[in-house]
Amino acid sequence: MAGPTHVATAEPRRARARQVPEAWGAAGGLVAGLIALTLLSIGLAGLSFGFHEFVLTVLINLILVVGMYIFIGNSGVLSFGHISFMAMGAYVAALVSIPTAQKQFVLPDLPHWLTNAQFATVPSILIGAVFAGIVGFIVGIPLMRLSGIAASIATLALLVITNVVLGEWETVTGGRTALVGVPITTTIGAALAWCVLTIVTAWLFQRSRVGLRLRGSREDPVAARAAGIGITRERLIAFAISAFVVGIGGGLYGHRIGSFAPNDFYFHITFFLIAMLVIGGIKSLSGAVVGTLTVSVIQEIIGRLENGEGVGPIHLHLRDGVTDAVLAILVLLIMLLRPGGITGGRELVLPSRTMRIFRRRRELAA
Amino acid sequence: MQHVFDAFSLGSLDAMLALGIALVFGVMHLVNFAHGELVMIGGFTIFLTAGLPWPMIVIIVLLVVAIAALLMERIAFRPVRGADPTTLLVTSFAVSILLQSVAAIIWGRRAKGVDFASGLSEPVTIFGTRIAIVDLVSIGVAVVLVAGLAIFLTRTATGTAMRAAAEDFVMARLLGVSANRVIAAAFALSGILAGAASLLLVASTGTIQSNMGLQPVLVGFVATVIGGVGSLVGAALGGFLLGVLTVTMQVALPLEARGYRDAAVFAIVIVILLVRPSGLVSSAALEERV
Repeated sequence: MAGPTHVATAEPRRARARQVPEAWGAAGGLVAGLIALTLLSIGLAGLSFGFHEFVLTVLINLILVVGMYIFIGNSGVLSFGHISFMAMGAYVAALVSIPTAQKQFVLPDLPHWLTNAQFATVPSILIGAVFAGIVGFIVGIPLMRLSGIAASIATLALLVITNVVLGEWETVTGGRTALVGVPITTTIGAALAWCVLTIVTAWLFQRSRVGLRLRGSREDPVAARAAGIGITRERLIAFAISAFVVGIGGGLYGHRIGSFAPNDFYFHITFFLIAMLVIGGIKSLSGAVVGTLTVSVIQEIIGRLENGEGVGPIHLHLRDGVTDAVLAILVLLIMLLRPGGITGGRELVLPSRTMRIFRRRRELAA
Repeated sequence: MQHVFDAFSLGSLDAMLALGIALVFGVMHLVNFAHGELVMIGGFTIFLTAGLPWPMIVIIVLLVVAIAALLMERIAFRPVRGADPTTLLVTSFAVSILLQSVAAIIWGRRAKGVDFASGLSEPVTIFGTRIAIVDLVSIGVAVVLVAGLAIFLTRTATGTAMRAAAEDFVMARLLGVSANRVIAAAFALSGILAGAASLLLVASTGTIQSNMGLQPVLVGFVATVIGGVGSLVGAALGGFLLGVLTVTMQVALPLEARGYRDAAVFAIVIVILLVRPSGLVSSAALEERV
């Protein structure tokens, strides 16, 4: 009760013996998943305008959630501050891509060099993401020294600070009112490409040396320290990469909806994205993806009912707030019944004959 | 003089919120996001009972919020008791959003005006400075509640059991302390503190809203962190310190930077965490033993 108890069981050892074949199986699962995702999104998007919008939302959510997973999932430290990086990505990408003439009108007091900056979509997203990544690295240096609850509260403080600064720095951000006129350029193809890149990056990271060390520290910080893992350095690298990826998601989001305000990047969306992560399973990449897809579908269905649009034959007019309530109940149920999320922290593994042969060979050797 | 009173009244409200969060954290290591929603429930209870004589409203609000806290513990937090910190944190975040959205479904998301004890906003003149009565009441209520809490924790059997549980839960249980009773007592007390805070908040602002719990819970978190997570003395101290800090920022920052007050306060929190990760008053219970 007071602090987790570390019970030594045979479980970790068995898991490790399976690790090599599972890695290959997971790679297969990843490739299959990406192909399915691509086909599904292109197929669905063709159906109607509503589906087109839905697919865009899901793809951007995927980038954001997988970006958060890179830090939260691998380190086990819950961060409430990641939406700050989404906000930075969105605002910076917007500021360097809104046409100069429009900026003179919307933000008349902007410094000249920024008013004159006018980049295309992809460079603007990259600039935003690099900005978010650098900020993530800098604030990460002090934050990553904290652990457990102190770390979560400090990231919460980061979210509040970002919100206050965005709301008050009127000359640059336009203040509490919405920043308008961001070119709406995010297409399904572009979002899909970024999404695939994000998922592959997350997978490569978690298989990398730093990623594995970080995952080790998540399972048992004391043992990891004893094995010579510094933890702070691993966490910092993950935090910066994670901030960069979430920054990309923010840039795409901005280029998708065209106008946004500081409060669009606050607790509400933080809850939705964390819900996606924990419902799918916080400890695996497959969990992040599965959770995002599940929650996005639920969100879309209830959202349509809230707007009175109806889903198929069902016509209910639900009141504002039902989506949040349903998701919150879902998260509670998952926490009570299956704290590991839908995937239980496992990766999607492709069962194939080669895998089985590989496993048998190892068992014989052992 | 004016600022001193401001600092103390804000500090006493912050201290009440921080104590409510720290009480629950002490016995079950749960950072209770939904503490803010207890304040919100208090606010809506005032809204629904408006028109009754004020002593009745006070009693009803304290009762309702304490019962809400107990129900919250029984339904949502008891099943995850002892789970890892992430599970606890996510659970309380979900409870918070759930209560907020239920309030939004029933009453909408817009702010509502409530006429409760508006006479308390009138200023009185003491030592040549004009002070709103509600500020004086805040300080008085905080002093009474903190003193009452201190007596409860040191002089009664349940209070002693709670302190023991906060120090070492497993050992306390081995010595015959009932986990359910101690945790329920902590939630009930934190509910009473939240109820008191909601009465003072509504009396001074006159509005309620489905998301009105956010600011109080952030303040409570920050105060507990400054004081030292898991220490009750620290929480009370942290609350008062936060009040002083907020008012100092309000006064010290130049006019055009005043909007950044909260950002500055939260930045100072991060600095405090870095210098003293365990807070000003550190508690042995937080250090995980192998």
